[in-house]
Amino acid sequence: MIEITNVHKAFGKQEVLKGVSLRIETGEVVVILGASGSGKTTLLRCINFLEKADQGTLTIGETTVEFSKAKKKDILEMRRKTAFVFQNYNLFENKTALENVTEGLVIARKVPKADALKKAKEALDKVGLSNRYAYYPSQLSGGQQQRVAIARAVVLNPEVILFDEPTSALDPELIGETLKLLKQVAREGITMIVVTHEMSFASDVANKVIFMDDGVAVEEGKPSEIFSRPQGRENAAIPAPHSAGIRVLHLGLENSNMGILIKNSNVFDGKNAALRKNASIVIENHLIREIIDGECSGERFETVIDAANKTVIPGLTDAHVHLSGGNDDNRASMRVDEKAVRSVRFARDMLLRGFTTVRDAGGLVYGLKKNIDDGYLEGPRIFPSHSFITQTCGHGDIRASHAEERVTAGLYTSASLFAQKASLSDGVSEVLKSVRENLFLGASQIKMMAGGGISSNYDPIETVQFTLEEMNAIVNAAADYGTYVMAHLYTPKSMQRAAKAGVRSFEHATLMDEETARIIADHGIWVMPGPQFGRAHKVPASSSAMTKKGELVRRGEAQATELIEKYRLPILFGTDALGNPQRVDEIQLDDFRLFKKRFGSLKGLIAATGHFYELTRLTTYQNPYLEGKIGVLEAGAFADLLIVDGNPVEDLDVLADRSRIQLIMKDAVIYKNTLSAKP
Amino acid sequence: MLPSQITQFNTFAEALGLGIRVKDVSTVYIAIFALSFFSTTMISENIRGALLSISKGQYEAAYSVGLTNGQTFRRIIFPQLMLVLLPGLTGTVIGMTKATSLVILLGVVDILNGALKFANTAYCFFEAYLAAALVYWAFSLVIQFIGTMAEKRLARGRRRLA
Repeated sequence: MIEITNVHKAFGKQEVLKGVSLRIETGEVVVILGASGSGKTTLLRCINFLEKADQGTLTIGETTVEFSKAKKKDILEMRRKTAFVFQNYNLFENKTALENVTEGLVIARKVPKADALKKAKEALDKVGLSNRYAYYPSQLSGGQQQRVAIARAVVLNPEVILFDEPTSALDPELIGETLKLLKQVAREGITMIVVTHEMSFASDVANKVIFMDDGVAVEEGKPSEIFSRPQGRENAAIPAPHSAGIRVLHLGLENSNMGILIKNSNVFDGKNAALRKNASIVIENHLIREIIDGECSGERFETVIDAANKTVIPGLTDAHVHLSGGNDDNRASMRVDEKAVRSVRFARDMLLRGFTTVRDAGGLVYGLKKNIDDGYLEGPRIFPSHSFITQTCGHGDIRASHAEERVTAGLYTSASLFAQKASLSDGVSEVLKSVRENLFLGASQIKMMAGGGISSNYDPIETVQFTLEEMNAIVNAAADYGTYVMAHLYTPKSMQRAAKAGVRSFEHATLMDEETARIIADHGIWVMPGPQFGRAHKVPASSSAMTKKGELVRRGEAQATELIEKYRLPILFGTDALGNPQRVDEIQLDDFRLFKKRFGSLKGLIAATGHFYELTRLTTYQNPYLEGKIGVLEAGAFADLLIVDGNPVEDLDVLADRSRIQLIMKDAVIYKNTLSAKP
Repeated sequence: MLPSQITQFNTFAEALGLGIRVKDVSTVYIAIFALSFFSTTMISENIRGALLSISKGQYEAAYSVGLTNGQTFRRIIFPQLMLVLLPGLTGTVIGMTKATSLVILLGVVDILNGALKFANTAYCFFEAYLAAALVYWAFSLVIQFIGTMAEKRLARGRRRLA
């Protein structure tokens, strides 16, 4: 039991604590909330005698000490009953993680060294740092340092652990892991006093919440009471008791969007087959703040969505689309402005199918992307390549007949407005110019045609396009801008050359052989193994040459599937959506059936979620969506998610049925919601 | 020393009934005293800077796990202090070594002046300066070596603190 009565503390003339009294029972978790400057940290520091209070008494267990009369011996005794976790970790810089933890045991508590080591190792194992014993603080990340600090406090087995804003010095993505650890500590029955701004932690874990304002505890109660209505002291400066929102204003957290709660959800995080059952997803400021196991009081949220135990998955991604690829079977006959306008609808339809992020593999997407990101249009997030880089007579040289001139200025050579999709470039200096032109427009990766393709007339599938020097130049120019190259290719020869040049993503890659598969595995190159040929959303074969090429590719598919499985090549979900919008509508989701058949449900789903997250990391600072993670559901991810009736981890066919995708959210905005609709 | 101060000292010593007189004090001790007095100021500034470089959090963390003031200093602060202090300290000591040549003003013969004494008789100034330089250099190297070794030992496996 810990009791403090009537604590006063002034710094000079400024009175920070004006008579605070608290009583905390053993095993309780108390969270102290309050605006900056309300005295909560000072209170905590007084309990640990890091500040000497002017007046008041402190009782821990059987011992009572009056603050103003505390002698050195008393202070030491009280300190040895408590432990403190600091905002800035404050690990001993000259000691390893293990020594940090043993220090208090061996020196202050006189525990024999061998016992101390054993206990310290257990404590570090518990906080997940069993492989970091010998690391010095400067070699650990902030989150790891804070975990060591928590271990250092827990190992002392004190009567109470005091936490002073343990997460506020951490990066957002590290906050989650630290809070999780705090919850774990709380569950072990250790008495804790926590000063924090993490409201969700307070509402989930605390037995008691205390509000401080201007040096006094204005309110005290269970989190469920506190978050719903203030009670008690009428004279305190608390606004009328009817909404949680007002309370929050009172805390100085105004203007923060209090967010969305999705409850009763079974979460697929984009990586693991096991769903997190009955979880609650907390969304704040377009990001997933945290995912909590179990119930969470919805009272403080603006919107509460009941997922009714359906599956929540990350928004789908398609790693290979052409949003402005021409929306007609005869793409050559369309003007640039016509294509641009059509792509608007194309993008919107794609979002409404559940694809919240796509990688555009070439085309005029600058304006489309900008308008979507600015909120003028509805559509998925786009990782644009802009024009693809192709050589004369390459797959991207889409002249319809020998009668057409190669246009050297305007239409084909620039990625600017007049380039529809191709940058026709030969030689190192030309490819460099094309790559950089795309980077100028904000390309998040570079698309290169490295071999023959089906839907072009004058380049047989077997052709290898671009010399090694040209490929090197393209890859290096991209790498200098922090990004990577994706290459269209089918044959081993193309793939081996591209692998040598450092291409990071192979598109199609259908005709791979054993040796090439091994090379891909060694280099860790991403493979987008779609689309299955014969999916009619490609431009229909308009010549016998195209039909023949298509046949050739189709025959390689079974072997490619086998090799991808055998060498566990990392795959991405991609559909190559372009052309006729009606066809794409039929097929884009339906391709999940094919991925299921080829790679199984789990792998197919990860290819469209978690793997895309890994892929976005290749784009580094050229990534247009750096603020959040894409393709995963965890703290720090964008609030891009779907609620699906059925479990696609077990049966990917679920996604092929769009009526079962009942809610589509992108950037915390709901675009489709049929959750409550009667079937 | 000025004659008046000398008489004052002698009078003072006589009054106290001490047998000591100015002429009894070896100039070597005076030189040592003067040099120490001078370097105290330098070294204390070094130590002050090093102490300031250690964050308050290190003390607080030590107190919070129950260490006494003495334990905190010995086990947490001192090792970190030395790491910051050593490079500056090494420099100061090397500087002091060179400053020893000033003791000629008191009539104490040191390395440089010992060499010059010889040079004056043998007319080989270049050799004398060279020899003295080599000796200084050797001293500096030894001091530096000791400093570096101590630094390495303290930093064991740890990156230098920013």
